[in-house]
Amino acid sequence: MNVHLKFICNNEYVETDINPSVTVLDFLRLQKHLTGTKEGCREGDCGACTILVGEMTGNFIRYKSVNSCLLPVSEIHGRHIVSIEGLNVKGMSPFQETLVNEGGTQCGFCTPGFVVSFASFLLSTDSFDTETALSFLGGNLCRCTGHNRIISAVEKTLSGFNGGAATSFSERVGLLKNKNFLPAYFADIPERLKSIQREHKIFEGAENAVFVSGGTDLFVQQGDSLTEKNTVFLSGVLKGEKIWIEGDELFLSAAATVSDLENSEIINRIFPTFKDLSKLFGSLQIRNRATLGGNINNASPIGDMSVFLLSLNAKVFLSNGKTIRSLYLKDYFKDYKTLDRNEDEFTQKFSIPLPRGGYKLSFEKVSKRTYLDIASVNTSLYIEYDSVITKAGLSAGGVSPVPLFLKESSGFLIGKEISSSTLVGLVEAALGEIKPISDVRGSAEYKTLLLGRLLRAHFLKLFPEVIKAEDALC
Amino acid sequence: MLNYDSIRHVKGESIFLDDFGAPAGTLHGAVFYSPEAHGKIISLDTSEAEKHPGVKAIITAKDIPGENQIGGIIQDEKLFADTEVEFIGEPVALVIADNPLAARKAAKKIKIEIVPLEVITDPKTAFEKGSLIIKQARVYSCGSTDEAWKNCDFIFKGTAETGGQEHLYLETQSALAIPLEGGSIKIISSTQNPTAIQRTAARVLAVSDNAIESEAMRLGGGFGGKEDQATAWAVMAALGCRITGKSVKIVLNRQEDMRLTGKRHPYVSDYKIGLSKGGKIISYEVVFYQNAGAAADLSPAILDRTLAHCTGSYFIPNVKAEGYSCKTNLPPNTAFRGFGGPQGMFVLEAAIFNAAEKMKMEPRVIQEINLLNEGDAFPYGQKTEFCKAKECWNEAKSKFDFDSVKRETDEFNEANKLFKKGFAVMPVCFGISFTNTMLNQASSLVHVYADGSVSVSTGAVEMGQGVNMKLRQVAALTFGISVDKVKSEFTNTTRNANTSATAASSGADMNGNATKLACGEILSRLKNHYRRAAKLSENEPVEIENGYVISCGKKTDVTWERLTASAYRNRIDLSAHGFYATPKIYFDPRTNKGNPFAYHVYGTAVITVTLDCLRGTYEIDSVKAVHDFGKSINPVIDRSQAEGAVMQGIGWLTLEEVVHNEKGRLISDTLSAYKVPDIGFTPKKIEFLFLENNDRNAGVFNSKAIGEPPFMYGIAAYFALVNAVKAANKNSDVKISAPMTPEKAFMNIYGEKK
Repeated sequence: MNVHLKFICNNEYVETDINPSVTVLDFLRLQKHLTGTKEGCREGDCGACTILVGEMTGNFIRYKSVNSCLLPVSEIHGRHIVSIEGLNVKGMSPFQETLVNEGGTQCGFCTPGFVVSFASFLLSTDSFDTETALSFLGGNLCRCTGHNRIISAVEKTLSGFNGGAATSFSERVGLLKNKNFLPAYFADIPERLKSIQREHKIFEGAENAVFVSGGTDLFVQQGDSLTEKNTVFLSGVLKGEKIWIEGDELFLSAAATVSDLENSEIINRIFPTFKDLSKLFGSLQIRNRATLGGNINNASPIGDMSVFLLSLNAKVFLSNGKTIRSLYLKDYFKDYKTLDRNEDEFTQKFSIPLPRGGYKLSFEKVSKRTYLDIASVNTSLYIEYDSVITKAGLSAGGVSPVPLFLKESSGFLIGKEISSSTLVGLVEAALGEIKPISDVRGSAEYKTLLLGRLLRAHFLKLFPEVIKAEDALC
Repeated sequence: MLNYDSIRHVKGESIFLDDFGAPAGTLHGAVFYSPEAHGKIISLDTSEAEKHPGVKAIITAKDIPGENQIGGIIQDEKLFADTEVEFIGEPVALVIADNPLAARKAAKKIKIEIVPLEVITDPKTAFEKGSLIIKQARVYSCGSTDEAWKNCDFIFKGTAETGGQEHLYLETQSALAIPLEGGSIKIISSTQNPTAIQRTAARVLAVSDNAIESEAMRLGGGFGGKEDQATAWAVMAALGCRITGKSVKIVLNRQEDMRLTGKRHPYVSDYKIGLSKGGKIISYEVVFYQNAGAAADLSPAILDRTLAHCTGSYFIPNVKAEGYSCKTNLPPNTAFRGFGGPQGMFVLEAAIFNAAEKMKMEPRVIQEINLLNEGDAFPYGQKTEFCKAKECWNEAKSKFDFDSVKRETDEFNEANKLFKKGFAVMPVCFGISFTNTMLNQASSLVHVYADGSVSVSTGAVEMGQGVNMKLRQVAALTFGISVDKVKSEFTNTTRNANTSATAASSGADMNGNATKLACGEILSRLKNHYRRAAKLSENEPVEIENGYVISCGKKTDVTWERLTASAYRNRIDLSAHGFYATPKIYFDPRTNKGNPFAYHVYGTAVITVTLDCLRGTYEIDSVKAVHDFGKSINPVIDRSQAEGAVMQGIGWLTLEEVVHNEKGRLISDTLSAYKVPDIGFTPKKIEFLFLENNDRNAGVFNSKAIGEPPFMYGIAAYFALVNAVKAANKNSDVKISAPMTPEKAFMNIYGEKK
């Protein structure tokens, strides 16, 4: 069933009747014949299809880089999408020029994606330094240059670049336009977008619905068939706050993206290390789309957010549009890719008890490649302690058919002191609770030994005054 | 200097095959392939698939008008399997439909019944069972190892393994066939070898070569993966075009591309090395078991380069190297940057590493004293000329201060428990030319238009290596005009016939030389025209510099444009065809002796790594190299090529792991399972120092080939990691088996000894 969509594509206002599950990549290439956006993998792993999606927030348009191969068109209603064609200026922008001069492009297939990701950095950064810029390029893969020439181009582009946090959208686009980074039409986009604001639907249940959250895994697995299904896009259902506190609980909307968490003042206050560890979850393009609800309901045994929330003793709230029920996340995962969820239910939100007293959180993940990779093993440890441990949540992924809450091990920690002997006991308890299998992400033996080391890494990181390198390496 | 390719790339304006506006009514093909690695086909049922909406045709072996054969070196590969399947991913049928999705969905409805036969995935098992591509061994030898062992103070044996590697060109395999009049077909495809496609399509369609026009516009990466393996899809598109009468396009998606195409050859190799007390290598024997996959593809040629490069950058007086191309039930493995060279060099480095450890020496001591000297002979008989092995090593040793690197590494390891560093040095010597002498030929068709603009057509396919720009520079340098006046055209077999693949790092060398010849001919006509017009005698010097005629040493006001326009009006031929056959090369494949390479490229790199002892993960700290670029005609392109090559080499030896299960199914068949170096894996420091020289035996304008040689510096990353692992656990008995994934690094530290 087609839907009627209105949005701005580069400098063009578009109104179209279209199947809501068509990807923006196909829309751009096949319908608009804008072929600068490339298909490299259709799984969000190469970034050749990167575009910007701009959304009004107050008077500011927030542009985020996303993988257009995993983005359904229904999600761009009322928004501004920008492909490489919409970024080109007369001649070349300073970044394009340094890419050419530094040898930062060879075959050219990945290059538009890098240019678009760099533009998302320019539009949204508060600090124009190389390190920040590179964090925006992590989801883009170049097979020819080995990336060093691209890094060099970034450095050269930013050397002597004066700019700070923008106070208004017009100030930022003005700066970028004056430096020839951005075409002039961006200045008028807020005015043009105001006339096509998104409206939210009230969801009252649906037959045979396929619920789509961020879609970053669903479109990888089922991209070919979603246009034939009754897709319900949860972004139109789950509205309002993404992250809030109520009583002694922290609530997270199922629609909250990893980026939302990363940029949340509340999360950064309660879990100051989250910002760094979130860099290990997918790429920026994925984090900008991937939601908590999607990651948990995907039920991957190595889901990063699942493991994170399990250690925090989270509850999941399910709705069928009429009634709501809740259960502990650790009970939600029943078996491999099997959840305690009825077909008509979708996840509305999660709750986490607010930490009390002295508390610590550690997340560890080992994958082949540090960034944008799926874990061989990941694990999260949450501890509240006084003179002894009063509360503990230990979870691990990649070591059982489901993301695992290690009940016995968590229980073992209660009442224990922080010491190397507690650590030894914990490792023993944990290894008795897991059942890893050998697969493409490693042998069972590897995963077992690795979890043992990562538990030591938790303790070493959290309690360096008590736990020493020798304790971790023994 | 404007590199228009780069400018179009950064603006997203370059046109790759799938961006090209296909004719209205173009149909789309999807490949149905074998789900079994080995078996007899009992039945094939396409009836349900035929009923799928939008399906126009389903093509199988029985629909082929000519030969069902696409083998290059050996005729052992069918376009479509008919009676037997030999690997998962072997094409069985092509579904043609209105759109790609309909074609793919219909392909899923095809039913095939297969009686399974034994599946072999390991080369040594294949060898033991007599499953070989060529029955007899290939042997390269010199001196007498049998005699030499008794002169050795130390003799060591060992085994070394290297894994496969997915090319992961960002643009997947793709082809478009367009019907022309009179039964001719134009094929545009993402190929490094348009002529192979022309010939193979002609053979499959039972038409003559001139009925097929084959073109390659530009490639979104090749790395060897589109040298031989672009052919099947292009030929299928042509066959679909013949049968339906419509244009047919085939674009593999990423997973199909990963599953259906071959990769770098995995090798298992046994070596025996003999040395003097001082570390001089006296004797070396090695047996290479190459995992060829289910058909020959380019495997025999690749095996030859493994044998040719088995002594790396070293002189060894007594060598016996044997190679077996083993037939397994995997997709046919194929060309990949280095073409077997890296696999050959890796084994000797493993042998040196092993010897050094047992002899309580540093590997770099053994490496250094065995480096090639001027006039030393390789096992294939050729002697080094303008040898740069020691020059590069010494320059690297002093500029990068190997002793300090050693000291700093030791000090770091002394001071740190949780992290350990390791480093290794890798000298490279790589021969330039196709090992098959016949292929070392190229042609160039140059047109100068009356307005002075220039068009250059050659067999060189642009795939990111910058050959378009280099050819423009060659033409501009030869004519004495600005690069902006020159355009490089796509490779098209109607402009350039009998082209060799753009491969073996030789594209710019050979096509550049052919272009230089063609331009030289036109230039000489233009000079004579000027002399006639200016009433000068035949001997008076006329040159063109910076776009102006220089007559008898004096700049005139005659511009290049004025000269070409005048030449046209006076009926001077402004087109020329240049032909280049690399001189002085020959090879006797019976004795395996000769002079197969035009020249060699040298260099030395040092790579430093840091290992996280708790997690088994690691970072590459730095890559520093002194590389023999010759007289680079484009340092920007050459530096980018060198860095890209070394990172691809490091990827092969570290993160990149091609995994098959025992049934022959590729399980690393997505980008989420197969990891290549990303921006976060980039070493903090990459430094390439240019060893510039003017060797007379180098390539065009004394530049040197750059595509492949730096790939092999990556081998240093492997041994640097072994050193770091041994620093983490001095009792670790590291099995030399690349890649050193974080899993292997971790298990080498903590795993039970086997």
